[in-house]
Amino acid sequence: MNDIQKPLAEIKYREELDALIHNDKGVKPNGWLLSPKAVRDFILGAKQPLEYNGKKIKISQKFFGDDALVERAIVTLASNRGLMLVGEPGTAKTMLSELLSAAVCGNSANTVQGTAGTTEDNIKYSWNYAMLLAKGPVKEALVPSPVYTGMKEGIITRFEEVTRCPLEIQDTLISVMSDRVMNIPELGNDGMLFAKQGFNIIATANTRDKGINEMSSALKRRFNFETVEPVKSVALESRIIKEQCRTMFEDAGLDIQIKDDVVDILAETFSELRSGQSYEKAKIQKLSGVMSTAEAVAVYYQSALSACYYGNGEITMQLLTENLLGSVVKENKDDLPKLKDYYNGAVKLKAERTGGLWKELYNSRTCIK
Amino acid sequence: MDTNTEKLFSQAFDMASGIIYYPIRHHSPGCAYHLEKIIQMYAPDLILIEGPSDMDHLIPYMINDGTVPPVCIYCSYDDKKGLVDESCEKYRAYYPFLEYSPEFAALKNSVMTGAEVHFIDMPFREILINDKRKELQIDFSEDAYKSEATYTKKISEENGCRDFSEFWERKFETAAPYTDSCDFVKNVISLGYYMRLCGIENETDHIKNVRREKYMADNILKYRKNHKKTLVVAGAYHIQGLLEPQNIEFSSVKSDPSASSGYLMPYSFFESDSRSGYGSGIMFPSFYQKIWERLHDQKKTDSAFEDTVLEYIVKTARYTRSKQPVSVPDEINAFSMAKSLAQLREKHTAGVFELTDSVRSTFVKGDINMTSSVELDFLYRQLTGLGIGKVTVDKGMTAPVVEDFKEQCRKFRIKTNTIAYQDITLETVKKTVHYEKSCFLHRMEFLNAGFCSMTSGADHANSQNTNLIREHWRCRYSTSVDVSLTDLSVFGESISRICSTLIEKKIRENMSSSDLGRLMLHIHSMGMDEIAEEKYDSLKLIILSDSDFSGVCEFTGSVKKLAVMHKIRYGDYPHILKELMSAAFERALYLMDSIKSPDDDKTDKVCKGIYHLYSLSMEYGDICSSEELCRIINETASDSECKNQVYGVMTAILFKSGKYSREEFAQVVSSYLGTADENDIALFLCGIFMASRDILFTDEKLLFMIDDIVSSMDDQKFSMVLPNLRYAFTNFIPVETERVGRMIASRYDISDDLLAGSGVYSFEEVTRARIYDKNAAANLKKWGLV
Repeated sequence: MNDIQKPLAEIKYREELDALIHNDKGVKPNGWLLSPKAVRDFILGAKQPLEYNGKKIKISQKFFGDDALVERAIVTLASNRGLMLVGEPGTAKTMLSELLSAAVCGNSANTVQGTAGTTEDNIKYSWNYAMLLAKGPVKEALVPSPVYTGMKEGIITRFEEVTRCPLEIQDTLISVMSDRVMNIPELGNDGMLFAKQGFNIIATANTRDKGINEMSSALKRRFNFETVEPVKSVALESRIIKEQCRTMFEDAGLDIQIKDDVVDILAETFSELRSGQSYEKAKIQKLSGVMSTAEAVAVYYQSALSACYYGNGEITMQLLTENLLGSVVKENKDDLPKLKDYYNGAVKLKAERTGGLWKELYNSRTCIK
Repeated sequence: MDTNTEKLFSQAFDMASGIIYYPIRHHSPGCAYHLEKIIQMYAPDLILIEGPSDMDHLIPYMINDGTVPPVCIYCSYDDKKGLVDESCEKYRAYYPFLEYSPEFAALKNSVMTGAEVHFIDMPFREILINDKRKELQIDFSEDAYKSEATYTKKISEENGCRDFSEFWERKFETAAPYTDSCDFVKNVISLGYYMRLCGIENETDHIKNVRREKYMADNILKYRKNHKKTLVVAGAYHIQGLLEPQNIEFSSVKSDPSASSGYLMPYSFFESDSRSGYGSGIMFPSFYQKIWERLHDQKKTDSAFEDTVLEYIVKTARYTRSKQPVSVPDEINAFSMAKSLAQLREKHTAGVFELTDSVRSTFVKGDINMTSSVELDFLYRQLTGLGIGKVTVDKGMTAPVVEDFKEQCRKFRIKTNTIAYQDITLETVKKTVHYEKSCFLHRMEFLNAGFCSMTSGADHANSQNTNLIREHWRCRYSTSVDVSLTDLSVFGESISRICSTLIEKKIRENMSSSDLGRLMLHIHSMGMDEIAEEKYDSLKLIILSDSDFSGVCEFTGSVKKLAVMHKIRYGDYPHILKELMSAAFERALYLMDSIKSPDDDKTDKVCKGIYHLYSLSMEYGDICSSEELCRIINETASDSECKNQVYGVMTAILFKSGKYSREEFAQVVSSYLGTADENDIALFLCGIFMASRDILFTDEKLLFMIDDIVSSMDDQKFSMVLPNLRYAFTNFIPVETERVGRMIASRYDISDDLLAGSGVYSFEEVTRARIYDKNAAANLKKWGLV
């Protein structure tokens, strides 16, 4: 059991990274910890376990659904362009950005969280004003921000939710990304910080925020864009839910067995509500809320916790529906009748055809009010 | 390679032996590239190819210099005798060839080496009879790559590829220029071996393949008797089956060769693309065409893939630049990304998948689902290709109707060397050439060959947009047009002949007069009016045997339209139209007695028909006697069974044609209005207004009479009559309705402003209205209604 709720990727997968570094014979781009092939193996998993410290270390797959996207992302990071991950919330953009940072430079903590209140200081640097007053503008008085740190140390800077920042703040990245240099006029002749090999930026933006703050085309040109799509295969989504929940239970020190059939139903439900079409090809009303895989993981995790703490440990369909309800209505109340329709249509059909858990799920519809 | 595949390779590919088996993947430039090398090295005197053995006679045309792929062998089988199954359907299949299809490369190379060449696979009709299958379309390579879907899927996933096409490109296509020919063959044999191993699990499909393999093996034995060196070109899946053919029984039913036919036809890159639904096609055929061309340029062999990738990046950037900013650094980035991805994926060089990945990553700025992806759309279009092949065959080797079609397209400058859409605008009245072109397009539309459709223009047959003078057409040539025409070739040797035959066939079938009228209008738009003359007797018979009054009246309407169209174009109309019109008019008069009391849903049509006959008698008095019409109308109207609306129309016609004086007419109407039930009155008025709405404006007495009747009704009765009354007034145009309103208003001294609802009210009136309103509200509350 780990004391830290959510350890950094480089800590969580320390052993795997060490094994990869140890066995990596590929050519590494300047400033990189691993070769591009090893980075790919770290994220997509390796077929064979690696020998390290007398142990066989299995390199697990951490990102599912689009191998080509990961490959493109790796190649982009080795080029002179930044990587922009866009997509619906909950499509594992942040996770991918963490994994890439951990594999490329062993540090996924160098992060700017974009908000409406993000200033240029939060991105580049600020000053320790006491020291500034005492010694004047000297290097010791400078407080580095993540972009400064990334450039100085030659590591990846992660910029989360970049489109939440005002346009003029986003644009401070333009010169950094095109010239790879940061000018600090206060330091005079010593004020030029040249980016060390290995520096690059991974930014994320979710498409639900589109329109809050658009990006200038000048900044767009400095990035290669990758759209992270929701998982399309029900089987894969089911696998992700199982693996993520298993890890979360382990981290929380809980001995909870995952019920495969419940997860399969949950994955199918999410997939159908997201796509607006049922497995039987019946048209259903698409929900406007985010029906991401991350949300599905949360629904299962919450349901399992409720069963563990307040029930007999058995996850029931009633619990699943209650948590699904919470997930659906948190964004838009208009989705509630749609969910009801889904239960009275597609779920009813499945209940009639297959019975079992689907029937239980159908019977739990009474809690949707 | 394991011992099994090593053994298979040594059995199949011993260059020192008298026969070698070259394994291929259909439409693979890599396979074709090495096949050419092997032909040079081995110098066979006989080349046997997996292809329909009954199509050997097409080989000379395939290797003709004038034939440019993509082309296809089109086979059809008309199962008239029900040998395949009891449905007696018509079956067809395409055997496509691209320039880099190994089979086509083998054919071409046989010319250079002087080797004899034959197709050895089972004919299409035999496959149908043996498999008893019902698919309308098959492709000759479906066996190997469809039934092994699980294997190909698994092997692709294992190698981190999105699908089998990517796997094939990664392991075979991009490696081909850098691999020794024997090693390449070894790898393909090995792949085929494992595909077969998994394919055996699917027993039904496997048996079909085994049967074909046995057929091919027998043919190999037959042909190679008098030859020293034989090269067999067949799918990698079949190699083991050809080496060790199993004894399997063929169907005892003998197919009928006379019911099958085959032609060599041009094919398009679009249809060859597996993304267009051709399961065994190759993805992005135009991309591989460029690779093939570069592989043949000695100086460019090594850089064939990279140069092609770069060419497409530049082309896409140039196109995209006109829509959105794409800079040279973007192009550099894309090319560099394609090369880096190839390295990461352990490929020899970047291929089409790296190309699409790099353009997607560097050119598309934003969420790919939300931003426009013009660059990707353009790239995909280019990679597939819009081109079309060309065949040079002797007369008789293609259906004459296809030749006729091509000739007409040449004459009217419609392209048949591209599958892009062509928009055509025609001014058919002004320009004779445009009229002829329109006739051609109308004929093609009538044949339903999928070549063209009129997007806008006058559609006289359906009485739509008849005010339009220009016609706008959208045409698109594809092989399916040739196929449809070939299928229709049983009806004639030219487009006009087939149209005539089909029209005659329609006329022979039980046709109603109204349908005949529409068909005649269609025939006119096709410029084939002479058929009407030739078939005059049949046409007349249809009219005379039709007992539907409205249908016959509709026919007269169509003939009237035709007469007008003839007058516009030629200054006069043919005699036959007069005769048909006269025959239809007489028939309608004869049927008049039967329509006194039509069903409610037909009453309207009947009334329109009667009025139509009246207007015909006014316009064409020499052939449609007004006297006779009035006589019969008079007889029919005096029958007490006559329906109100029909009676109304007839009364109005009798008045208009002078059979009733104004006084007589007023008397008939007033006596009807005075005695009949309110609802009947409304229907009667409906009939009157349909034929003679001007009566209201020439004599306001009638209008006031109607007004008196309406005023005397209580609310309940009025609400019952209202729908029919309202319907009666739909015969008026808005200006006329307004005029009627003003006439009534003037009777009651109502000002125009008040009638229009925009009157000025005094302060007292408004105050009074407010008091009424208040009292009404108080009462409603008191009664508990609000």
